[in-house]
Amino acid sequence: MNARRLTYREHGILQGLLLLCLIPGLAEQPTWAWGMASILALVKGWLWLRQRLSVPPMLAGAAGVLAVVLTLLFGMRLGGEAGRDLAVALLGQFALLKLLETRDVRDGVFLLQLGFFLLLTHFLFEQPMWLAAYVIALALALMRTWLLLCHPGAAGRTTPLRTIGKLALIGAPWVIVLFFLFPRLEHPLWQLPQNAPRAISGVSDQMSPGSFSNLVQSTEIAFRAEFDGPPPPQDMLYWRALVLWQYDGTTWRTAPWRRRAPMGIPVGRQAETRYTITLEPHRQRWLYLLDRGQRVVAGGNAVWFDEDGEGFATAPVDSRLRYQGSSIVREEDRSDLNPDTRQISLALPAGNPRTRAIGAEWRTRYANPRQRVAAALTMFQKQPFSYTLKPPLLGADAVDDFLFRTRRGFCEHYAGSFVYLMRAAGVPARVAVGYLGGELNPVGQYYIVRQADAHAWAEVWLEGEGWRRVDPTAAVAPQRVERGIDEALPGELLAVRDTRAPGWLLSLRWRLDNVINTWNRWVLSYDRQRQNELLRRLGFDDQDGLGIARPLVIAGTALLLAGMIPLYWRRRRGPHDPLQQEYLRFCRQLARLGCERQPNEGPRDFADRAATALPRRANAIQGFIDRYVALRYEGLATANGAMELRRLREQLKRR
Amino acid sequence: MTAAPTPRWWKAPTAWLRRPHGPEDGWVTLDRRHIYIIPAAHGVRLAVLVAVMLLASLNYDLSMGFLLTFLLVGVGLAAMWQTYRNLIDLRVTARGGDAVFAGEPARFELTFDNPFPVDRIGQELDTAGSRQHEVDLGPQSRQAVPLRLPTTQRGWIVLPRLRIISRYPLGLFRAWSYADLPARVLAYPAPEINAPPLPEGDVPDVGDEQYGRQEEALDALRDYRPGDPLRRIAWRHSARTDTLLTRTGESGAIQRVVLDWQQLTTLPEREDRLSRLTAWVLLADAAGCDYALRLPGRELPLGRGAAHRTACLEALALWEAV
Repeated sequence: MNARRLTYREHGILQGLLLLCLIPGLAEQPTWAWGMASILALVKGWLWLRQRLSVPPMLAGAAGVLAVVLTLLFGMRLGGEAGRDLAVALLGQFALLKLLETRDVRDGVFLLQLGFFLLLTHFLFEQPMWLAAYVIALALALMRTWLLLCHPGAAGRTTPLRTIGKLALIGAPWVIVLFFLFPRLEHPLWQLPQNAPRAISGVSDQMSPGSFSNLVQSTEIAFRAEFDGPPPPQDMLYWRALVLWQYDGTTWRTAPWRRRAPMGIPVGRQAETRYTITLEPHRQRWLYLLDRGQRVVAGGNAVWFDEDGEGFATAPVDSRLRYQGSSIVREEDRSDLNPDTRQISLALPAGNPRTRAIGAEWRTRYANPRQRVAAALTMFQKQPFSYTLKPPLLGADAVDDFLFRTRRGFCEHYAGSFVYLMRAAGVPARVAVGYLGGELNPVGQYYIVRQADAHAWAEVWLEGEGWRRVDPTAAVAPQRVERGIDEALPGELLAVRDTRAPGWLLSLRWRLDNVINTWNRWVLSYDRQRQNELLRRLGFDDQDGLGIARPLVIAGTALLLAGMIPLYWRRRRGPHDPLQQEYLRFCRQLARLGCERQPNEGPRDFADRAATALPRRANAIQGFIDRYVALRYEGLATANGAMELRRLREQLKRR
Repeated sequence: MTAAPTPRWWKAPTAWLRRPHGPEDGWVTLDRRHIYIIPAAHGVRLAVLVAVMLLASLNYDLSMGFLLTFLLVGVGLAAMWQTYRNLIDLRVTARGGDAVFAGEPARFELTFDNPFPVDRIGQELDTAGSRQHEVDLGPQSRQAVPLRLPTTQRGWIVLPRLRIISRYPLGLFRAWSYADLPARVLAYPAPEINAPPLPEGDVPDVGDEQYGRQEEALDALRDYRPGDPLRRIAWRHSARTDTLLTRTGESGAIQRVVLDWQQLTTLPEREDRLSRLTAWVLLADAAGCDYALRLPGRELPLGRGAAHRTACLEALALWEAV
């Protein structure tokens, strides 16, 4: 059956399915790759339309060599290295070439199997729920075509899609058991170099005027956060990522050399807040922790934590990452600031004379640094500062220009100028960036934090208290802190969030997001750690290393045995042939009349004997048996044969 | 499709596999003790694919990749079950057709019976020397499948072991079962082509009184009646009298021949002699002669008609040298 040539129609279906398998990946592919894929697809489509079902092998071979060479050339030139994207592009082209030279059922099935692998490659880039649904649907369609290629006659007898659905249902317990119990790796076995990360909007490790006001236009989700206990109040939800130390007059930057593991974990005086964050891939290393992070763990993924309270993953976060953090909302640190830190947190570039002057003035006027902080905040409050997404452009002395001329700005303006002012006044200060707030989803009791919640604030060092968070934006626009970005910028952010949408729509959106969150949690972020958790809950300890093997073997055996049950059960029940059932009823009826069938008696012999024993019913008996034998043994079975027999059997009751 | 001869080292450990599976009440039921299943070509390829997909999912920790991979595994296992179920409790019987001459295909009629309310699709039938058939059976239905086997020699053509194979639904697994059904077809020797005419002249030498040469004299004549065989018309007398006359009388009216093995000394080969004799039986029967057949150890007296012909041909088909 494998050597059967494919028909025109089957070629068409294979083409269509293969294209559907390739389409979701096109967005991830560079232009040249999908340009070549389209050329191959068009060639095949054109040949197909002209009824040329198989291409001469020479032509296909030449096209193959050309495509591979071109792919490698383009890949080398543009990507610079043979990476994951290149491998995926090559695979797609291989599938299209195979399509060109496909002739018989064997090729067709091979192509369909290749389709499954193509579907898998899409998950290398992203694993959203819609893609999962698309892939599952397409996988079922591939299997349906597979069945029809192998058994073209099945279409007339059964519904192939239903057959496949049935197979999937029978296989579902296996899918579940294998998914949850199949051992996961802690570390990857290999890593293909990845192409340069594409720009993904998100908080960056630099801050210059405009960087945040661009970001808040986006409703993309940055991460979701669930608290183990009651969540802190909204105005405490400062999700801190990075600390920016260095200022060059326009841009604030991090100080990467400071990223070392802390000497010792500071002991919190107050109860820790624990939470779990599901971070959307942002292709950066930093993680978000509630201000002030104490600890971070992320299952099998390597994450660490430095002395400035920043959390990092060891590799850029390319796929959704789930990690647990714990934070102390108010930390006290009585230790002294070390000289290096003091130096960097007071360093100022040249320029901005007016700001320096006012800082110097405060330094002499207020002995206590706390008073200098208060003075700055009072300045933001009293003077006509305003919070806007569209601030005017600033001149060379940006801080001076903002504080004394434009006075219109966004969080980065306030945070930056406040830190500058503090350093000028001799208070060690730094900028912190991250997100503020988030939308509580009441359906799942978790927070959705979006790019629109991006925020920058300041931290100042106070003797005896350590680093304190000061948010100068709160002095200008307190509603930003208390109620979020939408309330703080009425009219400017129409597109950001539909919080003003009708209630049912909002609730629908929350429900949908909750589904996605549950999905992320149980399906996407199911890793080694969660697997261990599950096993422990099931009562299997992973002490001896066999922890995973044992339940897998038990469940597998149980399923195999369960699969046998229907076969035996059906056997014991015997064939439920309606004709035979009528016959058995007929025999019972005669037995009641005193003529029992012997086990070795066939229908005819029995009928003859019964007719002699019960002469008054002889006609009815012979009538029934004649019809029964005709229906059952002479291949005259009709749809309502059983009904017919029943009517004949009822003749027995009449004398 | 002729199976390659089984190597000797493989025979002993797999003998149980080929143990006979005969019928009960004429039907062979493919029960679970006689169904074997192994992965087929598509299945092996799928296993490789699944391994690669699993490796990719493991390495990149692709939850959705795992899901897709395990979906394939689940469907594959379910397909194994389905393939097995496609065969189990299927019943098959066979009936041999009419006798043929060697060289003509022997006809058998197989009947498949599906007593269960399930569809059984794509049952492949494989017998030594025959092409594969595909049989689709609806729920609770029967289907007759004609089977033609080539014959090369005379004698009983016994239906070889039947192999019933199922690869439905996805060709991942190949389940099969054997059925040894006692159906047989008799093959007569192939009649010699362009055989020489019947050995008329030699008859008297046998020394038997009744094969008279004075047949003409003993004949009585009467008027032709419609229905008289042409060969009984006395042509010479009819020409003389201008009316058709028919010969009557017991003896001599019919040509008598003795087809004797011993006479065929020109043919050294046994089978050639049998072929010649077969051809003569057919000729004699067509000519309406009375004929006798003498084989070493077997002798059939003079006779005529379909039953005699069949008896002679059977004797020729089954004759063994003594």
